Amino acid sequence: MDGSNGLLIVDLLRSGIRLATPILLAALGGAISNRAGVLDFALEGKMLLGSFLGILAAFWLHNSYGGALVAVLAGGLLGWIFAFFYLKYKVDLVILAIAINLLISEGTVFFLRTFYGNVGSWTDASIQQLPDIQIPIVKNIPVIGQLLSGYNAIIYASWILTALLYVVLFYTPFGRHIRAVGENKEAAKALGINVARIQYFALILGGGMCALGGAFLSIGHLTMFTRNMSNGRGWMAVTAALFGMNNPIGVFLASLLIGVADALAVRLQMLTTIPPMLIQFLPNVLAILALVLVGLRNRANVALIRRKFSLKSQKISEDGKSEAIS
Amino acid sequence: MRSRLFQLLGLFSVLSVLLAACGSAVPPVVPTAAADSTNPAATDAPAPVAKFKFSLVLPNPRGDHSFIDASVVGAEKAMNELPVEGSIIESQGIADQESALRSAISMDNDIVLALAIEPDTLINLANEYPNQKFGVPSELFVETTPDNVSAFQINVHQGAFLGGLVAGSLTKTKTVGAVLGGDSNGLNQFFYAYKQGVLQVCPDCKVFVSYLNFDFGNPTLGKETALGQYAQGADIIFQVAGRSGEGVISAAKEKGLYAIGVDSNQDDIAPGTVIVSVMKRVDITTYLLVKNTMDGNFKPGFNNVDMKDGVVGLSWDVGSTTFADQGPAEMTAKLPEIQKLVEEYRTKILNNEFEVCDAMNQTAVCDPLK
Repeated sequence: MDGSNGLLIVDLLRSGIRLATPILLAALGGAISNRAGVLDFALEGKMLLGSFLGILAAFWLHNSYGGALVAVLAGGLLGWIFAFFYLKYKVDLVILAIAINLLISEGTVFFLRTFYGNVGSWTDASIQQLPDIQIPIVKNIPVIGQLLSGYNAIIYASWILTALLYVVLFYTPFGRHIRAVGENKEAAKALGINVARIQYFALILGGGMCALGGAFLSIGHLTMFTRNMSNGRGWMAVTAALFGMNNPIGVFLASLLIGVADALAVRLQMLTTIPPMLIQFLPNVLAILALVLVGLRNRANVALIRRKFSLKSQKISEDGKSEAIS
Repeated sequence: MRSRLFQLLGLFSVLSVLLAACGSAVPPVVPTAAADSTNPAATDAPAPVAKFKFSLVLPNPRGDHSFIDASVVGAEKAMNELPVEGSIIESQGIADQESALRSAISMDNDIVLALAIEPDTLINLANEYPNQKFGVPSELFVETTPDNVSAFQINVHQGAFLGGLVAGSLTKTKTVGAVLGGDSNGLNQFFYAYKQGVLQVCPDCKVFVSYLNFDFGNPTLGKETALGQYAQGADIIFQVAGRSGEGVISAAKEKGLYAIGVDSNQDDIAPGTVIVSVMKRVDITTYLLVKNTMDGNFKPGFNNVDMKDGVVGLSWDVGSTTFADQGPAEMTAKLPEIQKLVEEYRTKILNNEFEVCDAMNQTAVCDPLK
């Protein structure tokens, strides 16, 4: 009994990880843009572009890794276009995001119809799904091996990117510059940081990561493209980035929570008699709860900073007084 | 600087609107000249003064491998076989169904066919244009309709029951599943009858069900849901979930297990993996609406049809042998016997000797299935 329960939990977590990966990649992209002071609402469109071009390139190149690479490059290019319009022409971020999301969602339908005469879904028997990779040594460890080994390259890439981004953001001068731009653009500029360059970098990187998340849907998890395949995951990613406080580790946990909650909803309704409507509400309840916790924490932080600041200024003014007296 | 910004913005928005327009309002497919020249009867007779005209408005674009594609097949059949002029208008979902319907109304059609359009939209437009005839090939879940609407209600339970018999006969693990787009009577009409069919031949079988919260366009979730059921021991899953259902078939293929298709003949999506499809012949109802209206037999109100009208059945009935040809030998060996069983129950059902649970109109047989 214990063994089978253990297997069930492993199966649940594996399913949760697979469901979380596209959200995680897009949310990391969103988090880095947020850190650089650009609130990116076009994650959805960038993701969809990755799904679409990923599978088309995999078909043309007869290689799914090539497909993923093309998706990343295309996502980076779209990120650059986004940055160009925003930084050069000061187009409003919300309008720009709406334009890009609409353009991609209708554009993919348009191209599918023009070239393949179909808009619902498209696939070709020659397209290979990205293979699952067994990690040597780790795969032989009981439970942990089952949990950590046997995913495809995009899932491992999402983990590596999480760690890498965390290190870059918090332990390198370049990361400090990114955060400085996000905290206060004018101050960063005054310090001689090239604000535009940092924002270009963040948006290009973010675009590439969104597109990789999209490619996971079309060639990593399935081998098909369906109309509007990202299906709102880009918006989930915007939430996950905020809810993970734009910290890569936090974003990872937030995405995992969303993925596992989805996987749990699927399994609970199969194994219990709880009404499915209630169970499907579960991921949303968890998200709201988590957001409330984040909100409370932020408020506490702000209060703490204020108190420190007022103590400091009190001290300064007291020092000033005592100096004046002396 | 400012004017350039506006120019760019304008360009952007024009471009997206242009693409949006190309995506949804497709130029109507009017096979007039081409169809006529291939039809010798049409060349003999002088061109009729005013042809019978119809438009089919789709709730979503084509390519669902399901009831939308089936309806298009019916409309194309009507265009090829009847002296009519037809057009197909694809909408992009609920948001532009009304404008798609309005454009169909403005085209001077003798009948506008509205497939699975949001009921309020359709009823309001039918009241607004009392002289325009409307036809609904499938799924209009309302209590009453105005006199200018003729709606087919296809009751699928008997076909789904036959699908359940097949699943119950072929499962090795005595566990089967179903993945449904949402928890509604219309979709449960498939599930309860399927479950009844499974239990009829395998009383100690387990039948899992998962609902996708009306997410019909999410194959990723469909696949994970199916993988969950397979991990719990199911070896055959019946999918009733539109494009999300394609994920179910993909999961079956990946695991080397089996699926049952729905609405259209889906046996060829994954040969040897999809055992059979429970067919809902929206093509027939679409064709009949055009033909009957043309012949002056427009019948207002609801028209309930089921297996006895030939609109519900299995893909095997229309000659699909994909699984028989490409399935594993140990399973295909059982097919003749199973097909005999299916025919036995079909006869019993048609002679009213056996009652299948209908979730739309629940009776006592449904009680043990909930």
